[in-house]
Amino acid sequence: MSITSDVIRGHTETIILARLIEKDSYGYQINKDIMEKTDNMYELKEATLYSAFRRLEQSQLIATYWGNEEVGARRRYYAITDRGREAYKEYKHDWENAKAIIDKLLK
Amino acid sequence: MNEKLRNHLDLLFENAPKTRKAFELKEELLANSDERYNDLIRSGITPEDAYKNVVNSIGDVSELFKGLAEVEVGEDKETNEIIKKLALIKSAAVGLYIFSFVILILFSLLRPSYHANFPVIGFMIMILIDIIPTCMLVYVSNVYPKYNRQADTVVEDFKEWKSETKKSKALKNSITSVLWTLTVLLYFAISFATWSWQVSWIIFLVAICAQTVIGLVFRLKEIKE
Repeated sequence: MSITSDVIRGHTETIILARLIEKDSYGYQINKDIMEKTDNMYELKEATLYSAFRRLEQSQLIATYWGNEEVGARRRYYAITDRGREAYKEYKHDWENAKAIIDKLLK
Repeated sequence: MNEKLRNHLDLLFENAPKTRKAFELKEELLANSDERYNDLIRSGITPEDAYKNVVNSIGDVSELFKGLAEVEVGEDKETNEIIKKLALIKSAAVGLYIFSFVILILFSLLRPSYHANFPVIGFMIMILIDIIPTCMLVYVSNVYPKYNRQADTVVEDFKEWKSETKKSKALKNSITSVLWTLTVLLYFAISFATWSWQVSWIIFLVAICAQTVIGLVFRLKEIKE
């Protein structure tokens, strides 16, 4: 699983953007969605998730706000920005290019 | 197991900088870890295993501490060096202004002879010398170092804002001092040239108007930002 996790980890930001395009979310929810979608084959460490959040925030691709929870501790929500949507399209495109090239080379 | 998780996070964040950002990150981590723990319990995992799972899923947070800003609340040495240098340049500039003014006075003391109009020559030399300190002051006000945040706290926010206004103040002061030096010089130049001292003092009134205008321009700039 070593190359796989490295490759996937390199795309952490794109993966997060993909989740946020669907709806605003928070750390654990995003991780849960990822586990569900990959049938528990993949999950992110919280530390990885958070450093990705910081980078995305710094590049202004996501915005963050605190939620008003009736029950439990307050959660930090993230939302995608317009710049984020643009970036996501680009990253997805890059990935599809890379995928196509590698597939060709590994035939 | 809230307490156990909370304690674990407190331990993890022991070496983190004591800033608002750090506190908020800890809060976020706690909320997420808590929910994960509860989900695991609900799915039938034992408390012990659930706790281990959650701790493992957090991973290594020390990487994140860098982004939470530096700790030392001292001044940045490099910035201080630069500020000292700038102060030196400013003093030198003022010295040059005074020097040029003295030159003007000296030349004016010489009676204008038919092959050399000394006062005017003195005036011209003074203006030429003044180019140097004026350039120095403009350079200084543009190079003024931006205050580097030591930590992301409310205090630092304020310090950064203050340095911004300090910069525009420095610029405004530079312009004001240039204005008044030029005014005094012009006053003497015109007075010696035309010998109408009874009128030439009006230039000071003009200078006062100019200074008010400059003040307004800077206020406008501040409002725009």
